[in-house]
Amino acid sequence: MSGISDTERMITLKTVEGTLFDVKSSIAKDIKTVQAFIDDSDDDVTSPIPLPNVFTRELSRILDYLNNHHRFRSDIEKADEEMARYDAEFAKSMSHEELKALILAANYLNVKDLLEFLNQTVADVIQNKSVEFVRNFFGIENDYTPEEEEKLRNENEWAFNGVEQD
Amino acid sequence: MSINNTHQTSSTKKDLPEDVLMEILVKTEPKTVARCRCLSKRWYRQLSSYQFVKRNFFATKGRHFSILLTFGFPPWEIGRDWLTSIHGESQATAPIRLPFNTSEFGWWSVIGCDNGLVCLRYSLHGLPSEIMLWNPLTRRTRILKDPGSVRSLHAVCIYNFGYTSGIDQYYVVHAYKRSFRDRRLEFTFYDSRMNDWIEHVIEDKVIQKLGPNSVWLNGVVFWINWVGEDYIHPLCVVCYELKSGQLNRYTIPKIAKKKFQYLSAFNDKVCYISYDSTCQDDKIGIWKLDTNASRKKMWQNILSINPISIGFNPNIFIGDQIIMLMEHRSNLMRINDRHNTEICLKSLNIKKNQSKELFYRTWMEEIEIKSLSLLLQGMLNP
Repeated sequence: MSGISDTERMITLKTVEGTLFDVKSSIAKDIKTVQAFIDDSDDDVTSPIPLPNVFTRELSRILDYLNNHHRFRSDIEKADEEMARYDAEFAKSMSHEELKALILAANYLNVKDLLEFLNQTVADVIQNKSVEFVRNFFGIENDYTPEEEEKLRNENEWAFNGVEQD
Repeated sequence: MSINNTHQTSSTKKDLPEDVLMEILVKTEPKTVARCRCLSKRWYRQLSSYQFVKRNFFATKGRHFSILLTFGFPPWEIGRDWLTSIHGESQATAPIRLPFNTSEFGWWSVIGCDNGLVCLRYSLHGLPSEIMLWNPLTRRTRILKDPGSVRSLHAVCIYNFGYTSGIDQYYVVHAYKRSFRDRRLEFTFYDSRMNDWIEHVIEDKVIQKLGPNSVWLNGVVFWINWVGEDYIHPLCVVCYELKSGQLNRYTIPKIAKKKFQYLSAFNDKVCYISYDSTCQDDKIGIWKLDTNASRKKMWQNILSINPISIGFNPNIFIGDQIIMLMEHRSNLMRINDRHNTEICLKSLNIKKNQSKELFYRTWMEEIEIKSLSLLLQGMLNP
């Protein structure tokens, strides 16, 4: 890997379970919450940074994503194609619950690109799905009376054509 | 820093915060979003606001689209046209039911599509005609008077429709001339913000025959100006900016002139497509017109496609994709024969050089494609 020196500073992150992850500072830059923590610390950060909201499974996924994307960006020629293939695999490897947990972690850690990508992934998951599916997926409580909902559905009948079975 | 002192929760079975949910729904296919208005009362309000509809439109732009085709019989068999949509992702074709029913003397045509709205010119019983803005997704419509209703005998009687770049406003433009040699080029355009028609006359001795094909780009309309004895020589591209009422001409370089010419939009620039014949070894040239560039750099040959490998006319550009249409009519030489028609629509990815078939159908009679437009999915109200 060219361009990245071996002496690059490493930062240690600590998850809820206490697992430690060593992260290159160039990768940590993309994790805005961590970067803000580093910027706010007067001295060099030598002790592990605790992430009390982030679990090992999610952090390892996030780092995997960031490491791969850094690697793709260093090789411009094949970048787009390989990245698209990696992203598709990455999204497919997770269950819906895992996907939501990862969004929470990415949102908390403020990893912008990843969050955008995950949001789009969920947007694609709910496409053509029923209202019940989306309610269930997002944990939204229905506060319509059955009559009100019936009326609303009738008014927007066009939007209910071609809905997939749950 | 809030990085410490936050309580722990289980890593699964936790709902997403509302701001994240909002970002997801902004990226969601418009039709699904419309359904999501039924999630709860709170979400109904959030997802119905114009602000949201606008953000959703831009965030999903180009991802969910269909190609709208008007099929019809030769001109003398008026009133028997039909509209079909071809879904961009699934390639599923579906007939589209128009929001009106015409009588046997009625007719209709597609003026254009922009940001999810279709602009139609129609007449229920022959004359007079009207203009309709229609969102086929939400089925909302708005009817306008047709300023061209009384000008059917004019030499130039053309229309266009589209939004300004901020999508806060749209226009329906009608341009007309009494005769090709007439210096007076008159415009009547509908401004959705003012809800009114505005008239504007321009005197120009260079402009003769405009159209019939035109391009709408963020509030500017482009036509080819045809001159010469039979009005078959493309001289320049004429553009009319709605907001300022300014008219500009850009002379087409000799090298770009071929037997067939066509205007289309390519990644937010106008492009000029020209070729001699789709069956011979001459290339289809695609020229980008950059009206902001200096005179020398204004016309740029961005692409040459070998027609042997394609045999299609490029019509619509979406990102790296070119949608191309082939119409082929032949005489079967049979007793009582009629013409047989083949119509094929292909998309070519210019980066990967891969093409795929979107639509193919044959008829044992003469069929024409009367309009081909790109319909994006959006929830904007006419």
